[in-house]
Amino acid sequence: MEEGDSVLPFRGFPVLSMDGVMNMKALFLALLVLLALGASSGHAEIVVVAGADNETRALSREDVINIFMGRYRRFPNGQEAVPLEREGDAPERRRFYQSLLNKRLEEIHAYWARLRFSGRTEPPRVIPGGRDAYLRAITETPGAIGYVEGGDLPRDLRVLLSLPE
Amino acid sequence: MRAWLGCLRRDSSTCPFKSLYGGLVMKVAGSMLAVGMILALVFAMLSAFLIHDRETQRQIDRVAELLSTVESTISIACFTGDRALAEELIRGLLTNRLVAGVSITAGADILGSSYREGHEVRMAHAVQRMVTSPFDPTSVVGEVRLEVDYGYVQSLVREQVRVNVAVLLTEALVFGLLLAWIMMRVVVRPIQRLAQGIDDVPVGGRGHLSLEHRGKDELARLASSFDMLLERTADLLETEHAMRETIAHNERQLHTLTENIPLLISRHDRQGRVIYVNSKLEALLGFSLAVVRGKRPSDFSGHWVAEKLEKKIFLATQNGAMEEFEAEFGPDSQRSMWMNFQIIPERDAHGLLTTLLVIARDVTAERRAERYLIETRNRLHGVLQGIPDLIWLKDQYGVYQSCNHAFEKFFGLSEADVVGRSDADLSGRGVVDLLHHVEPSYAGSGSVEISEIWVDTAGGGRRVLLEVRQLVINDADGGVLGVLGMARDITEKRRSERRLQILEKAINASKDSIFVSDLSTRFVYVNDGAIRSLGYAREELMGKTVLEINPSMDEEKVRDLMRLLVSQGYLDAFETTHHGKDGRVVPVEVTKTLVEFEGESFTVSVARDITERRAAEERIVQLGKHDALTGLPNRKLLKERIQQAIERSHLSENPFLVVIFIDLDNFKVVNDTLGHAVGDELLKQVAQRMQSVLRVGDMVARLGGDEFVVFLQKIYEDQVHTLAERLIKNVSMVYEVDGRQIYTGASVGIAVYPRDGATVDDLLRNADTAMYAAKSQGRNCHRFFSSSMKIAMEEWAEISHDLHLAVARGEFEIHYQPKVALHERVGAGFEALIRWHHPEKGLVSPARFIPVAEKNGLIGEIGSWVLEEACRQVRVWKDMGLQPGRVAVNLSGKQDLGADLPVKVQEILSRYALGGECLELEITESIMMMDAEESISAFWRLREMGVTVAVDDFGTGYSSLSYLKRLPVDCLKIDRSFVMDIDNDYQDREIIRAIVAMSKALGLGVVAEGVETQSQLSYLKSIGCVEGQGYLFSKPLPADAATKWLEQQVMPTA
Repeated sequence: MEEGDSVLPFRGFPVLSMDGVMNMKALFLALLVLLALGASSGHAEIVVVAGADNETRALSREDVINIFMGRYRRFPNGQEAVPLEREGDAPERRRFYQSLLNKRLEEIHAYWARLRFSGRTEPPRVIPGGRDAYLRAITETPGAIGYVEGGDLPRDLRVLLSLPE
Repeated sequence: MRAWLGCLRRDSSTCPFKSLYGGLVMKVAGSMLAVGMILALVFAMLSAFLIHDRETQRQIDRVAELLSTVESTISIACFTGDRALAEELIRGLLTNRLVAGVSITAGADILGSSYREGHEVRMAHAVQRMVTSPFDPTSVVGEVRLEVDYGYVQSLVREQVRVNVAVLLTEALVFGLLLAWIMMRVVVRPIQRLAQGIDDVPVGGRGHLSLEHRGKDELARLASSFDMLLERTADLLETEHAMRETIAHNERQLHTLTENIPLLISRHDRQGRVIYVNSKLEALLGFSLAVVRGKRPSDFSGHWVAEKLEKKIFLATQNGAMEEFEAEFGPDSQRSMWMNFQIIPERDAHGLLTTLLVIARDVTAERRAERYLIETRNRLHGVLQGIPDLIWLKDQYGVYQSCNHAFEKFFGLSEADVVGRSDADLSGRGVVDLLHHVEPSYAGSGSVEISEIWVDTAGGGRRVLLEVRQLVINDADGGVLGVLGMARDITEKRRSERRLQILEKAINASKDSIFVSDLSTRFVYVNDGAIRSLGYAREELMGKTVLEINPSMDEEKVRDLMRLLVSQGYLDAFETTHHGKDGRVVPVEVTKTLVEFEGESFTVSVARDITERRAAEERIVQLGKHDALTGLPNRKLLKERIQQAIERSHLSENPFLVVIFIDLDNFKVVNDTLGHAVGDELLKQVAQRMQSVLRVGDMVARLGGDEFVVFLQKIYEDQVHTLAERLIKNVSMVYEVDGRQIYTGASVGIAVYPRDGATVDDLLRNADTAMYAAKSQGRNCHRFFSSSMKIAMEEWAEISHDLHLAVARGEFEIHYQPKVALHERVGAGFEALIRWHHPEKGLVSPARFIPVAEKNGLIGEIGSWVLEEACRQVRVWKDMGLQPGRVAVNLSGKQDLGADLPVKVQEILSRYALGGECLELEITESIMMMDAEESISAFWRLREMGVTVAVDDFGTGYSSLSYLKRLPVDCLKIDRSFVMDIDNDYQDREIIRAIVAMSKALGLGVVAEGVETQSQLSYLKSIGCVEGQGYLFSKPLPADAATKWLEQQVMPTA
């Protein structure tokens, strides 16, 4: 505070001193951290995808909800829709439901628990394995529909709906 | 209450307490129980109604709550259209006894529907709800409907109501019992105890119930109230007892009073019947009470008073008011006796008139005293009314009690207006803010306060000065009763006092002494003037007589004066003297007047101090004896003085008296040439100088003109010389008058008594003579009178006398002295010189007689004669063919030189057919310097006629050369005195030379007079003097000799 308090020109000189160099270095590091955070928060949005051969070109959010949450398991054109689910606690799975229904994954599990306990409606089929397996299942399963982080997608997948967060 | 009051009445046998208190409790408890039960029933029924609906609704709400718990699951079922889930839900719901049936639909699709057996569907008791999507609350995905089992609900409600009623009833019963028990314990028992306590209190006793019933509750209050009640009752009983005692005592006392009081007392009923008479009355009436009781007065007395009394009793009964009357008994007013009767109505407690008390009282003494007072008062009143002074009486509060007629009249108020009011009430009505003003201090009793005040009278207009006397009146104990006031109009008195004072002041202001004396001339009054004048104190002067201040009077004289005064009433002013205390003598003029006053005669003498008048008179006298110009004594005073001195001279050791006659030289010239104002001023200064020289006691007098006389006494001759010289020296010094420097000399003649004259006139004349001698002997000197002078004077007188004759007899002759032109030695005219051939004395010199002629006035006549004779001679000469030249004739200053002169000259010249060129007039310097315009113009006229003017004796006078221009001077004649000394005196020579030079320069002729020697002639010739005359050429010649001289003169020229 002594430095800062000074209003005299010659007291401001020590900016070029050793302390000043250190300060600049800290500032620079802070900037880098901020940039990195920005990059992580700005990662690609979740998109709903289907196999490239699927006739459906786009789906509304309601369509996606109906398909994934067990109401209708058909595309608008009448083709049977097979929602595929990522295994376990995958970040994309969590982000998908967050973006689609503004619900946590645990809520989704509770929803399905009630149906599975006394009803007949099945939850989407879970594809074991990582992202690649999941994507392969989408492309390979007829009428499959899934979700994935947008960006670098294989050619055989078609994005039906983007879900901005 | 009645029962309780009964207890208070000590009637314990009737007290119903024992049966009462159990009943009271039963009654209260029973009633309360009954009411409680009824209320409980009503409440139960009310609650049954209220509870029924409320309970039904509550059960339905429970169903709605049940629905809410499964709503989210129903939502999922409807969303997914999962029938299995729906049916599972329905089953679960139906497990609740309240639910009679459930149906779930998703859109048109009935997912599930199930009803309890035997249930009838009643729409009013269903819960129906729309089902929304679990993911979108706005999106309806189905409907659920729950049927309530109404019968079951009703059975539940009924059960509830029954329980409620039962509880209420039980509560009411228990409460009622409890209340009865408490009442019994808290109220009834204490009351019972209280009642017992009251029962125990004896009659008239005092209770202590409050001691047993402490606390703050109503019972404690009731106990203390009982205590108070008992207390009061006891007090009341005690009071009543005491009252009875008192009444009995009073009755005894009253009896003693009525029986012993010196009053006659009776009591009557409304009809006047006697109820009571006291023993005094019994004695008077001669009847006992027992006899007269029940009878009217007139029944047992025949006296008229008895009847009157009855009437009055009747009146008092009617009016209910006290009646009173007096009755006089007895033969006459001196011996009679007065009784006063008072009839007093008596009333009972309700104010009803019951009896009448009659009190009769012997008031004889009072009446006698009153009568006496009234008479005294009337007499006094008469006196007061009769007194012209204003009299009033006020009480100690300043309220008028009385006033007299004069007061009424003065303020225009009647006594009725005044009495009962104070000054404050009456202010503004003319009264007497005055009296307010002069309110006496009540402190000093007995003393009279006197004040004076101006007041307007009632009528207005007149202001009156009142002298107010106020006296505080005390009662017997010395307290203040009031104020007696008296006011007297002293306006007139004061005015006359004032007048008197003014008069006295006026009299005292007079400068005259005013004495008032009685006929014995003893002073009874003297004014300040007299005191001032005589220096006595007033007291000293009073009682003195005229003789004591005026010793010039004697008794005889005074008696004569008084006699005259009494007979004619006044005395004309006469002069006398008053002698002051310090011996001063005051000359006074006294007038006396006789005045009569109340049969006595007084003399008023007014003495005016005439000291100043005397002084003025003396001044007037002095003025007569003094010269107004110089203030010096005049001839008259001088002569008086000398006369006195002569008379007294024999008393003096030095009998010599000296008279010095002084005449200013040249004063006439000054007066004539510089004017009278200058002359007067000069005379004043001369007078001062003379006085400065003289000793005290010497006198200088002015006789007139420039003649002064100094009179000396007690002096010796040698001193006289010195003094005379000093006089001359002082007088001769230069004067400064009006910015000019003036010189004058003095000729002084001295005569000494007794040597030079025995009388005043002799002395003066001889001094005058001596003065003339001095003047003729060279002026500015003094001469003692001598016998030779006396002779000369006598001769003068002779000449004067003979001159008159000479003129008449033609004793004059003219001699002609030739004037000669010096260089040619030829005649240049003559100067005519007069000669007097006295018959006895022979030839008399003009120097001797001309001054006499000038003095006695003959000079004019003589002058005319000379002129005429000269002209006649010229005519003669001219007829003879001779050329006499101009003949010069001398003019005297005393001659008339006015406008007549040229006329006269012309006349003479004409008579002898001569021209002005024949004549020359010689004037002296003093004539030349005369300022008279008339003379100047006369000379100019003469010059026009051809007559020339020569200035004679030039150089001896005080000529100012400028005068040579003012007058038509043609020629200057150098005085012989200069010529005479030519040989000896250088100065004279130079003067002559100067005169000659000046004459030439001015173009004037110049003639040297008195040329006697050849050397004189040669000098005169040497300086260019043209003409001369003198013995060297010819002495003055008689006419025939002159003719011969002329003829000789003609020869050489011819």
